[in-house]
This record gives sequence, structure tokens and C-alpha cells, in this order.
Amino acid sequence: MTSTTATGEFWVVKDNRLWRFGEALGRDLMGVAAVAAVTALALWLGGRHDLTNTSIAYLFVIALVSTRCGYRPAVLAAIAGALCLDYFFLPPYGTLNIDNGRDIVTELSMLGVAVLVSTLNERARKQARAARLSEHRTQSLYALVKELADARSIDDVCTAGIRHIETGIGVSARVLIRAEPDGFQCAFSDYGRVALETEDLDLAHWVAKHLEPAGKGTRNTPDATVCYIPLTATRGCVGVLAIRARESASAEAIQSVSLVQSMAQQWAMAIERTLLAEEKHAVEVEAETERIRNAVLSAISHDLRTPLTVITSASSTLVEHGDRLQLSARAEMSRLINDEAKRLSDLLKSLLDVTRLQSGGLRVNRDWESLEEVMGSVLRRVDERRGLGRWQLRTHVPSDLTLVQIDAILIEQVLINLIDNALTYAGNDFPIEINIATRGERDVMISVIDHGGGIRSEELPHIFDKFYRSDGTTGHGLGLGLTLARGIVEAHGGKMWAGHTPGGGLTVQFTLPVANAAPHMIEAELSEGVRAWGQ
Amino acid sequence: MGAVTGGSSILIVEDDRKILRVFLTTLEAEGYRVFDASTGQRAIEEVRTRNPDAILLDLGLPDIDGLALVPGIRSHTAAPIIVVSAREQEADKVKALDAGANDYLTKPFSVPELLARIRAALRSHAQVGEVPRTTISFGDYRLDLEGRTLSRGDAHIRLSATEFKLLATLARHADDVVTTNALLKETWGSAHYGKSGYVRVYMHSLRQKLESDPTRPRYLINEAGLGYRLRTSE
Repeated sequence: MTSTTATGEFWVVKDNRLWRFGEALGRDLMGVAAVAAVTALALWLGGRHDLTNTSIAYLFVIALVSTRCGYRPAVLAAIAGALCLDYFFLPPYGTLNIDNGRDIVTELSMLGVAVLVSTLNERARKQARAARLSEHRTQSLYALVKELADARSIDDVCTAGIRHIETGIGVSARVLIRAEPDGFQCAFSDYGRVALETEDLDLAHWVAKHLEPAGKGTRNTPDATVCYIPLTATRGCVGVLAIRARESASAEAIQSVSLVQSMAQQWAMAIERTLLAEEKHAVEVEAETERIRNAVLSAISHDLRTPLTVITSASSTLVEHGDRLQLSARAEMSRLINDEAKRLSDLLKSLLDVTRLQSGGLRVNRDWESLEEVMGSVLRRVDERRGLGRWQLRTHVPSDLTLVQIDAILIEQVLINLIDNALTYAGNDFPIEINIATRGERDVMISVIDHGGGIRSEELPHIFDKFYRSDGTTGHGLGLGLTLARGIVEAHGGKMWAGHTPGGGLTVQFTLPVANAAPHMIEAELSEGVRAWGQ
Repeated sequence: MGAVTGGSSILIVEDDRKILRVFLTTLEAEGYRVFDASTGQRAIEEVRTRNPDAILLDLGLPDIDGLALVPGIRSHTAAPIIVVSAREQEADKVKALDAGANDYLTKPFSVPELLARIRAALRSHAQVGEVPRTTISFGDYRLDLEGRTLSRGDAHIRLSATEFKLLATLARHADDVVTTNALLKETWGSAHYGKSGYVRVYMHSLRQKLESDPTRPRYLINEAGLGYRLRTSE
């Protein structure tokens, strides 16, 4: 191959040229030396009287050289052998002249057979090497494609690609990822993200623009130390691969130019796929952010302003006209102010909580807690807020103690939010069920089940979204209760999901992991310590 | 119940004039004598000179480190201290309770809530300075600290040694919040600091014995993240 091919082995070959020249010369000399040895042996054994065996000895050595040292040494050995045969063994001895036609035939057939054997040998060797290369190439490509298929992030795709190129071809590699519309956004080496180096950028820009390799060993700027190869996918150049030869590169690996190209192609496709996925995700995040921004605005403008309006108008009525109002009307105004202020306080609390959850400011203070106790304080709180007896509940709490490592205040909040949600959407007429069940040793599952109207199936995936409120319901809250509940459960390492209650209604379930070292420490003490006092 | 206040005196430590105004109006309307202090130094002075029957102390004020005030106030009086805090100050609440505060209120709270806490605090501390109570009643139960018995009507309730110690600790601070760590320390000794699981296990067995519905306890009330209280009055 010449150095004008698209991408080449050249940058490595050039580095090793002197060494390779010396090696070739050595092999040539070895062939000639073998011929000399045979000549000496044949003279000593009196080969002049047995031309047939002498010729066969030469042929044998030449065949040997061709197998061991390659084509050129074998041809050189054949010529040397023919000359030696002529000079030492064909009369007149000591000259290169040949007297009779029979000797000419001997001479020429020996030369012919020697060249033929060498050629055949060379062809077989080439085929073997091609097969080896092809296998190496298939394996490298297969390994790369397999790993690229599993890679999800751009980081994974790039480090996997680099690793395979480095081991498959024996070079040091970096990849520069393009940024739209031009320029580069980041670079990777085999151990991950690295800084974009200014020395790379000039040539990389050129390569990305012209979609042609540049740098060492190519037509473009061949005196650079690094070779730059474009990674081209369907929508153009997605990145530039920068490779530098390593001292330890094997001769076989370095010559796999087409392997670099195949790998670069596969890699480019994977990079493009990842970039597209990331762009899509960014667009989705942007849309989600936009939706939340609108929801926050609407929440602030509507949901927070409504209670404020009631408070302002009711209190101003009391201030301005309080003396002219009837006692019952004054009481009504005061009650309105009270109710709306409470609502405002709840709304602000949930906004603050969600903000804290989102900003990562939610601290989970785990302690060994009993779910029975948590349930107790949840029920007390809901009673305080809703009024005792104003709602119905059925609980199934196992009587054996379940201790979990949780933040009791946060899990209490989760349960209150779920109960509030159930009461808001199902009404007070249907009892709410709360079931607590341990699932093996692993976790505890808590279900909050209502038997109200439920929601439509297509709403199910959205009920945990921020500011999501079921169709046609307004004024109950900001739509943050379930978001917050799920966030808290996830912060505990649990999961929360929702489904339909058989027969109608909504069921929300969540799990809390049970740590291995639950304190069963005093079980023994418990049984031993049961003795009556004062008897 | 307004008439029962009997002119008890209450010190409010609060530096927001508007909140103070609401408290003063409400408590005075209930028949309490109310003083206020807006600085820490002033609060200690008021405690010493006026010897209030109860103290309402805001933990979350910019100019006063309410938490640091608790031991100071406690060194001068045994009167109940109710700390007022925002929801985010759970850790401060625990510290205040451990430092000698008796109860807490979380902002925003309603006036009936405030009055209920003050009444409960005044009632359970009515005998402070006299001989400590040796029997405590809650519901149908009667706990005799000297004779170490718990009875319901004529029937004795069997308790393990640890259960009794735990219940006695709560009873000595009847209607106050006792933090989980304080319970551990009084029942098991200070070496068991942080082993809240112990308390949970024994509270569970106590509830099983004393409460008709352990998930809706009437007496052994859990205050999430803080501790427990033995409720002696409805």
C-alpha cells in the first residue's frame, strides 16, 4: 500500500523502516548462506559425479528458505543456487559457461522449479495471513459492535470505541466529538473525558470540514505527529478520531487499515445514535421544564391568589364594616379567613417541600422506626385536619412489630399525602384502606386503597408528575402531593406506583427496604423479662 | 376551660411584634397574665423576677438563640417551657426538649392548639415544688410509682421490668414530650444512646397491653422524629 491511500499504515511503517530493512537484509543473507553451505557440502561429498542429487539438494534448501524466509530470499537463493551449480558442478568447472545442452536443461529446470516452489509458498503464506487478518478484523469488529450496542451514554460509546481501537490496532487514540453547527464539544481518551487540546483542534477542524483524513501518514499535513480520521455517519461528521502509533504495535495489527475504517464507521454510527438520543432527551427536558414553569406560574397566579383574595376581602370587610355586620356574618368572615389561611399555608408547604426535594436539599434522617407508630401519628394528624369521625379508615397492620430504618417525619408526610389524595378524589363516603405487609425479608409494602371513582387508565402514568391534577379537578391543591410522596419514598430506596382498585378507585402502593440488621436484639430479653410487678 | 386558668402567668419570648400582639390578645382574653421578652437577657430577667407559671419560647427568631436560652431558663425555674418552631427545625426541637423544654408547637399553629398545650403544661406542672406525685392516672389506668404497679380498675396489668421503667419515665413527665434519647437514657442508661430500636420494641409491647387500638393510641402518643408523650387528659 502506498501512503496516498485514504487512511494508512504508513505512520507506523515509516517509524520502523530502518529496522524492517535490516530484518529483510538478514533474511536475504540467510538464504544465500544456506546455498553456500549446500555448495560446500556437495563439493566435499563429490557432487560433480552426481548432478541429479546435487540439484535436488539445492532445490530442497531453496524450498526451505522460501518457507522460512519468504519470497525474495527464496528467489535470491534460487539465483545463487543456479550460479553455484553452473560454476562448481557443470563443466567447464570454475566458469559460468555451459558446454552441452543437457546441462543447460538441468540448470534452467532447477531455477524454474525453485522459483515455482517459492511462488507457491508465498501465495499460501499470503492467504494464511489474509485469513488471520480477516479473523482478527471480524473479532475486533464483533467485539466493538457488541459493546457499542450496550453503550447508552456518549461516554460509554467513546471509551468503548477507543479501547477497541487501541487493542485492535495497537495505537493510542482520542476522539473529539463534534458540536453543532461546528466546533467540538468534548474529547475522550481510553479512561474517559479529557480536555480538548488546542494542538488537535486545527487539524480536527479541517478533517471535519473536508471529511478526509489528515496528519501523519496522509497527504494532508503529513509531518504532524498524530493522524486524524473523520468519523462519518448519516448526517455527516460526528467526530474526529486522533491516533498515534505505539512502540509495541504488532506488524500484523498495524497493517489493518481497512479495520480502522470499519471500526470508525461502526463507531460513528454509535456516536450519532447516542448524540441523537441525548438531543432528544434534552428537548424533552426542555419541554418538561417549560411545562413546569407554566404550571408554577399558574399555581402562583391562580391557586395562591384565590385564598389570598378571600382573606383580603373577608378581612377588609371585617375591618371596614365589622360593626355593621350581623354576628353570624362576622363569624362567617372569620371562618373564611381561617380556612383560606390554612389552605395557603398547606400550598406553600408543598411548594417548599417539592423545591427542597428537587434541589437535593431533602435530608433523610433515618432511625429505627415502627410502622405501627408512624401509622398512629398519621391517623392523629389526619383526624386533626379533617375532624375526628369525618372520614373512614380500615387498616391492616400486622400485629408483629415491623421496624424499618426510615425518616419517620418524611414517611408520615407520604402517608398523609396519600390519604389526603384519596379523600380528595374519592370523598369521605368511602372508607380508605391502608394495608401494611412485609414481603419476605426484603421490604415492606404499604398500600393506600380508595374505592372512589378512580381515574382513567391514561392518567395513571402522570399522577406522580409535578403539578399534575386529574382532569376536571381544581382548587384542591397544587398537584404536588403524590410527586412529593414518591420523591420521599425514592429517597428511602423504595418504589411507588399506582393502579386501579378492583371494583373502582385508585390504589397507590409503595415499598420501603428492610435493612438486614433489624434490631431483634431484645426479643430474648422480652420473653425473659415478662414478670409481673407488685404481685 | 377558660375560667380554670386562675390567673396563671405566662412569659412569651418572641421578637416579632405582630405575632406577640396576637398571643397577648388571645391569652389575656383567656384570663392569663402575660409578660413578654424580646431578648434573651430580658427573658432570663423576667423569669427571675416574675417567676412565670409557663414559658412560650420561639426557637426560630433572628435575634434570639432560643435553644441556648432553654438551659438558662431551666436553671431558674421548673415551670414548663413550650418551644415554638418552624417545621424545618426538627433537630432544634429535639435539642430543646433534651435541654429541658417540656413541649413544642410547630408553626403555623392555631390558637386552640396553643391554648390546649398551655393548659396541659400548667396542669401537669401544678404540683411542681411540692412532693412529686407517686400515682398517675390516665384513662382507667392507675400507675403507682412507689408500689410499682399498674392497674385498671381492680385488675393488675403485668408489665416486664423494662416496660414498667419506660412507662414510669413517661409518667414522671406526664403530658410532656420525652425524647427517644431521654427515654433510652433513663430506662437503659446512657451507654445505649442512639439505639432507638429498643424504645420502639418496648413501646410496641406497652401499646399492645394498654391500648385497645394500637394504631390509634389514646395514651402512649408517638411524636414522629421527637419522642413520646403519655397523655393523661383527653
